Amino acid sequence: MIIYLLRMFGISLLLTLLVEGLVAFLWGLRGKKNLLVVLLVNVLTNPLAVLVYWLYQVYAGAHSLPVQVIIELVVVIVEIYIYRSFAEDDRFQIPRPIGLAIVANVLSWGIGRIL
Amino acid sequence: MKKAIRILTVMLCWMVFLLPVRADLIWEPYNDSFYEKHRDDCQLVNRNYTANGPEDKVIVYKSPENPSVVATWENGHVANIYYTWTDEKGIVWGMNNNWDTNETGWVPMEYMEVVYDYICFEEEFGEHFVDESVAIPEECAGTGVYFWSYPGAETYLEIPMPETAADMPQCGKTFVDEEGHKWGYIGYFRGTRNKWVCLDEPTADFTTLYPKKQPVRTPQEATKESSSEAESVSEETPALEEERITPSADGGTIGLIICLVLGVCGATGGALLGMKKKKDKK
Repeated sequence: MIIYLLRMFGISLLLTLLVEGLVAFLWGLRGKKNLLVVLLVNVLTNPLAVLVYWLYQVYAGAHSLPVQVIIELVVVIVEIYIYRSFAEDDRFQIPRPIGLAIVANVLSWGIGRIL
Repeated sequence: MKKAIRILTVMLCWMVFLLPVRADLIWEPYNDSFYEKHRDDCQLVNRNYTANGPEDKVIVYKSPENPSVVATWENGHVANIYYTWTDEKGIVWGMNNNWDTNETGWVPMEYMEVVYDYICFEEEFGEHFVDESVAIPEECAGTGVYFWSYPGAETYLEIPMPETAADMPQCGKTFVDEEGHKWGYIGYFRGTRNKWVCLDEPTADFTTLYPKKQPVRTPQEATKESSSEAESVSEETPALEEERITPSADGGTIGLIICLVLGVCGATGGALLGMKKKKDKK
């Protein structure tokens, strides 16, 4: 089971980093520092979101779209907070942090559902 | 050169004899790590079952040891169970493959009821079978004949017969039903397995064979259970009071995963805070 779980977390995080990293780049984020923020934000939120949802479906015995949406909303709120926090500093260039958090997460979640 | 070719040809011939030859492959999942680990302990079943679990649902898990939910079936859902495995507590688990997603899942067989099939028919009426070799009537050559799961089944497969009478399938045993029709059992014929043919009327449909009413067929498992549980709750409401059978997940593993994730999050959060503090200082 542990290999299954590690694979689940690993694949989810990798996909998220790829999608959100690409979105961030297209959004206008350049430079290692800025992209590092995006990477760390997703390493912070994604495994936790996956864990919470996995525990839910184990104990509830079913998948639930509303629960997924709620978890994603919390993730978006956290990412907005962090991106805004860094955007306020002149040394980081994170344009439109709210939009970035929303678009990146909607896309990564959508692609995850399709796959 | 010629000698080399001869040697290679001989080797090839030997290899052909050494390779296992199977006329019909038995399907096995290729992406189920639990099955791969317990392959020798799994029993081939390949029968259809109806879901009948507590709270009107049966939960399909990743494996008998992994509580990750693959799907949820409402009671009444019919699914094919290909293999079963019995855990150390004696709980029998059945494996199902979703052909759309090609994903396997495992369910407690306690919550699955067998759909009446040729095996159930043999359990119920086997003592009335007669071992005899009988061919399907010659006049059916070149036409379609109805193959039934068992005498009294409602659906059939129409199978084209060979043009020549000599190639007609042979029935290994026969049975006479309630209406007096003689049936022949065919174990295998051109990819079709375990079917019955009405030898008297090979192309008669259900209403022709049973004009008055459908013959009664009762799975013997259901008969045994209802007689031994006479004081239990009714069949429509499976025991709601009992705890649902779930995979015996290793709590230690779950705890470890939680700690790992929290550790990663903590470290990442610390890294982000560190970056922020650095900028604040400057």
